[in-house]
Amino acid sequence: MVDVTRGAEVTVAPVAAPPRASRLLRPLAPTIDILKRDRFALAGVVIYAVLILVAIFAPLIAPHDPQVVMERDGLWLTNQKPSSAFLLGTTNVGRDIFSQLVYGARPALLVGFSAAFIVAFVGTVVGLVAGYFGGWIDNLLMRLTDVAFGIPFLPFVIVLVAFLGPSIWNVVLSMGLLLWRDTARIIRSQVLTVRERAFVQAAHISGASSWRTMFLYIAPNILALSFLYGTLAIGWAILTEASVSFLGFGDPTVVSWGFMLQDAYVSQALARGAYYWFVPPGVCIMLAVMGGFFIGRGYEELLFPRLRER
Amino acid sequence: MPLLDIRDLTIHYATRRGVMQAVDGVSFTLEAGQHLGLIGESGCGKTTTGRALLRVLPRNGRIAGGEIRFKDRDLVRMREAEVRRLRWREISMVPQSSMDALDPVYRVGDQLTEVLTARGGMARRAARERAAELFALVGLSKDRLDNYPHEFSGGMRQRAVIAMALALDPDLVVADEPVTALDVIVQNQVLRTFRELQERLHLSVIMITHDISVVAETCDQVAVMYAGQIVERASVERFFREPYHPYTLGLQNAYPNLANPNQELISIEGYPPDLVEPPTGCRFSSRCPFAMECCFHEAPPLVEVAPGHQAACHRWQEVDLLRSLAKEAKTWQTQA
Amino acid sequence: MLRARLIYLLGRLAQMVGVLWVIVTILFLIFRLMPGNPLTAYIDPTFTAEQEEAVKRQFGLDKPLYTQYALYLKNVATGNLGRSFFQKEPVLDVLMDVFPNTLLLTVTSLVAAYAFGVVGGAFLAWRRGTKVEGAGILLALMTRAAPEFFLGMLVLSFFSFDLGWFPSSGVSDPGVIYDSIVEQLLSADFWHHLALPALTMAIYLQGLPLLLMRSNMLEVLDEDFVTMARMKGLPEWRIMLAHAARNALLPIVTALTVGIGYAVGGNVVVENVFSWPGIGRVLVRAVQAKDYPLAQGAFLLIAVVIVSMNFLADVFYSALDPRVSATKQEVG
Repeated sequence: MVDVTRGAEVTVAPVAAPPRASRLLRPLAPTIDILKRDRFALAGVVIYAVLILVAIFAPLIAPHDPQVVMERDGLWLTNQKPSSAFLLGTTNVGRDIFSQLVYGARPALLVGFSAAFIVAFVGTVVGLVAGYFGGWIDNLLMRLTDVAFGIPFLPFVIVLVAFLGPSIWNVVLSMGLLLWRDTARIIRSQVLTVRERAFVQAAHISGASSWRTMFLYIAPNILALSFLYGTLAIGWAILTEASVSFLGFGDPTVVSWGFMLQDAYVSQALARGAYYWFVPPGVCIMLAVMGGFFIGRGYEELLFPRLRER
Repeated sequence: MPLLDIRDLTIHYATRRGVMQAVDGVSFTLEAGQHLGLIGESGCGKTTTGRALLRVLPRNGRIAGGEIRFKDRDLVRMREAEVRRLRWREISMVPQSSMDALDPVYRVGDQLTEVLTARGGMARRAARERAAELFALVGLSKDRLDNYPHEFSGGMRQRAVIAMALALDPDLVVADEPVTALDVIVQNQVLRTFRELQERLHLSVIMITHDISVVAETCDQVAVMYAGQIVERASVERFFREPYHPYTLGLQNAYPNLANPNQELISIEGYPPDLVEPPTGCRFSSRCPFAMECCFHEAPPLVEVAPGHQAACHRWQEVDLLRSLAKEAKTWQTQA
Repeated sequence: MLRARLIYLLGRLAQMVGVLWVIVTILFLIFRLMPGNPLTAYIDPTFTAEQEEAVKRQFGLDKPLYTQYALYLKNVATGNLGRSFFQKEPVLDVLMDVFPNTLLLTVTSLVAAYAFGVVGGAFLAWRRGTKVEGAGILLALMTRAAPEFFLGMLVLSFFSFDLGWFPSSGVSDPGVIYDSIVEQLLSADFWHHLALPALTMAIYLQGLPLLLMRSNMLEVLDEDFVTMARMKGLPEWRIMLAHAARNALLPIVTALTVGIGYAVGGNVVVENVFSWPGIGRVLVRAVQAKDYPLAQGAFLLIAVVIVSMNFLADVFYSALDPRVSATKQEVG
């Protein structure tokens, strides 16, 4: 995640006073501006738009039930090559690969968005509280962050999911328990700089309570940064879910892209050269993760305008 | 033949909004041993002009025209390899922020020896001795050679950078706001050291600054720049005694005057014009309290107002009137 | 100054021990308090209640939790990680058998990835604004976005199954057994087996240092001391290497800490794709088989690797950046 932050010390420009006329559109205007200029960010938005549509309308798009074995005249249609009937062929037990791919968008987005939300939320609160209150609270929370950085991420998720039972919610929970660490560190250092700004000092001196100062004056200035880390976490969450499924700890009732890859791997699809089986789900994961990166990059340019010159 | 003869130098920056004419038709000469103060507000093209002398411009900048004749060779048309050989050995620079001009990961002494060996062709040991000499020259203890930049105070770093600029005995030193970042007491100390070195080593210096007191202390010639152009050029005595250009008059009001320290300080209101779309007439016209109709349409030429003294103002012949008006604060207020 | 650095490092060392202690405690809690009796796998359903009690006594599970915890801490501190339920061997022995394989895989791929990434990133920065740079960035982002096991599957099916150049699994040909690590390192067979998993991991890992190096270089190239180096007429290669790259490299070392985390995490899946007998594979199998002592031990070992590598990276950093020990600030 370090690659896109380009150093934590960059300070975000404070939220400027809005021009009155376009007050409602203001939050959108720079976004649209970025999309017009940055084709990467535009690609990211398009990827997610398509993914969301596919996830919602999966039953309409998928020609078959992803779990049902295809049959003709009582015979299982196993290991079919791609054809007009089966766009990407069938698996070794005769399930339609294309339909699995379509339905796979659902768990991917579910895991991606929910984990990203938890990560951004927990990370922001931890960073905010640590940076704002300082002292022993800061010390405690930052040592906790150190611990979180010392825990191997994927093994932790595997062990926890193995104990809690294979469901995508447990995968989300396990990720949420650990992945907030990056966000917390960045938010904290950001809070430390925002805290010293004149308007925060003024709010404090004029008698605003700590919590009020924190949420009303500091939080708005760091929300953008939490959002940035949220967009990046979407990618990590999707990757992690795929890895967990690939290792066989995934939810067996859910057809996810990771599950498809595991299925292909253990069914010797590689040895048989069945690229049509394992390449599409891998590419889908890549696209979803890259979409998050792209949106994050574009958003980062919005936050750190200095980067635009590069 | 002057040491440096700049003719009609024009430098453009490519920006998002279009081409910015950062330096527009600048000409001046510098004799060997002279100390020329290049003075003006920030963003007026002083630093760009200084960097052009070493042909190290920011990435989006380029010399669009003119000549820089240094020892009768034109730097503008010189090949890059040749320019590189000339850098530091013939022209060196004390850059704007000495804070960041030193590489944080090397010892200061090693950075000095790097120049001496890589550019001066010295052996390591000789370079080491020379580095100690240079340190002594600028008033630093040679024990400090082994320190890292972050272990130096601002004033020490500035001295170290001056030592570095003198390392290869250059013919010309361009000092770009060499004391601006320092606090006042240290400013005076460093400036005194610099002045002593000027005399002792017979340096030719271009001193870039926005502070006329620095000019008063270290220079014998002055060129005033405004919005990419030279608006007045004179000896330092004439500059202080008989200024012609309204901008010069304004500058002198804005800084504490050594002759009259109790004088009220008056600042020039407004901002320099946008150099992407510069005004057609005199560039100072929008802020000039004496601007007439023609000032907005026609750019005034740089004319010889007295021997060795040039100014670019349509109303230079009424200078006595302008000078007396300029002393009053209300002249400079309520500008549109 | 040396003293300041020493104090800094001692502080970091103490912090590292503290972090490990908390991790050990968390592990203890996970494995004791999670639903399901940790002995379900060990206890035969036909056992009588008395037999079960006997087994519990054998593992110390009849004692109060805090006594268990104290005993556990003592055992971990002395390197006693218990016995594997299934392999019936001390956990430490099982782990130490496969640890060199993991270490070799991780180190090889990290070195390759960071060497490539640093050079490639500097190259992209040098070619800023060109099509080459755009394509390079896109490619790096693609490798960062691909799951490691998917990369592994592509590499495997192409280089092993299609072309048949490399073996598809394991650490050595059947029947080959090495007496020592040195012997293993010197055998062509080992490197032949290592090639594909290491390539896979290197492809996955190089994106981070590459993108980071590029943006660092771009940032450093705008610094005043680089401009100054130009003005001094230093040769271009010297400016690029001795000043720009040298400074841009500093954050890469910090990123190495993150990189190690990814590498060890990535190891788990890559080892499984290539059936590479390493810690990650042991961990996955132990969790699947509910072999808790072994799973716990493998987890702990990975954590120790991460934490101590992080420490090493800090040591490196403080050696590379003279400012660290002076300000004692945490870099990260």
